Amino acid sequence: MTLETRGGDESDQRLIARWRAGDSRAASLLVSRHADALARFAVSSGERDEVEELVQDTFVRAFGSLDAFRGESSLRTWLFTIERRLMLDRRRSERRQKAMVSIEPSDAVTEFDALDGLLAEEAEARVKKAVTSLSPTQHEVFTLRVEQGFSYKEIAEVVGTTEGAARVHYHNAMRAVKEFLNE
Amino acid sequence: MNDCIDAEVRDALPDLIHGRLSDLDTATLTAHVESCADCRAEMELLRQVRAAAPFAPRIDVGRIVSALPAPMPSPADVALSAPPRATSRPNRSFIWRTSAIATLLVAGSLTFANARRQALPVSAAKPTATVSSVAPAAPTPSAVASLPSAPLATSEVATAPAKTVGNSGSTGLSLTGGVQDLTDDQLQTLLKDLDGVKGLPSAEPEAISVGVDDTEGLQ
Ligand SMILES: [Zn+2]
Repeated sequence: MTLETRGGDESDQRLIARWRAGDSRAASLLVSRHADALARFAVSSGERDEVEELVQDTFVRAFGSLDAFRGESSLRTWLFTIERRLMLDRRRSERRQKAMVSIEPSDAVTEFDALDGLLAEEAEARVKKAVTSLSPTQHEVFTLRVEQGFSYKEIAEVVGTTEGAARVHYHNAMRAVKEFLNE
Repeated sequence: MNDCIDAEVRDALPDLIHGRLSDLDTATLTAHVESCADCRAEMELLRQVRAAAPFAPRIDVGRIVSALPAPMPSPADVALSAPPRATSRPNRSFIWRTSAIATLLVAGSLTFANARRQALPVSAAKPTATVSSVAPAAPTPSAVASLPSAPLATSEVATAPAKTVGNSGSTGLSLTGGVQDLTDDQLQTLLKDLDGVKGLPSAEPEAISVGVDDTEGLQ
């Protein structure tokens, strides 16, 4: 199977060039093209507070260092890589500040327990629980693959692993989700 | 819920949901899914996972755009963003050649000065000087403080022309003077020599990937 390349009416590369040449409308197009996906990734990764600030920081970092982006990976993958790094930085500093234990998957499950009653679909709540019960790495890979539609190659770039490892994590995650739902 | 025995098909199901497959692959896979109960169940599960994704807040695009740093245009970007007919290839070539001449003069002067002193080995200051003259759009390290970025391998490239031209001996040009010391003919000869130099960097952007060594998952 060959994947179709992403892209809208005008390629990210061309919009970047337009922005660098002084066209601020190109920046608006780039931000509106990728901002929602970045927000979803942040929320799926457990970010609850200041998601917009996180997305903004991601774009500010990215646009401030566009010289380092030469288009080998997609801009989208590069933005996710930056956002992921910012989330890791956030968590490290939170841990340092509060000297508290990291967010374990079980904590998040408890959080969703309270939400269960509000969910219209029981099946959806169970699926949500199944996904939340994954290990952090499985959860991250599974989320990028299913919610964002990333290829294994793109996941490998964002997470800093190999395509093969990403594939294994995805299939292990899928098996774990199925087992959870079959219980 | 069982797994379909076709691993390649299972691998492609998320791509089918996200519309990332070619028309042919989409048709082939859709036909398979319709005839395969396991794949239908897995597709339904994938849709539920997407539907169950937590709610993300709406992002204010304008606010983000206004917070972005000001762009630093480079000649290549201006060329890329310009209409196709307005080709700027000669200009770009001129810019490279001018930069290369500046590089030669700086490198030549430094070499000459070092030879005169006969004391110091080639210092680290030399490649630094040539980098700044060849790469006008320098990256902003502060902006990528926490991002590991690939080193700019321009110092080696930048010094290459100096070596090649300096050793050719065909022009007999002195590298210790300034541009103003050269006659028009000498400048032309020097430019011709530079055209033959293969060590000049391409104006095309080179691939640099952002390496992330964090293999730990989020959460
Ligand atoms: Zn099947």
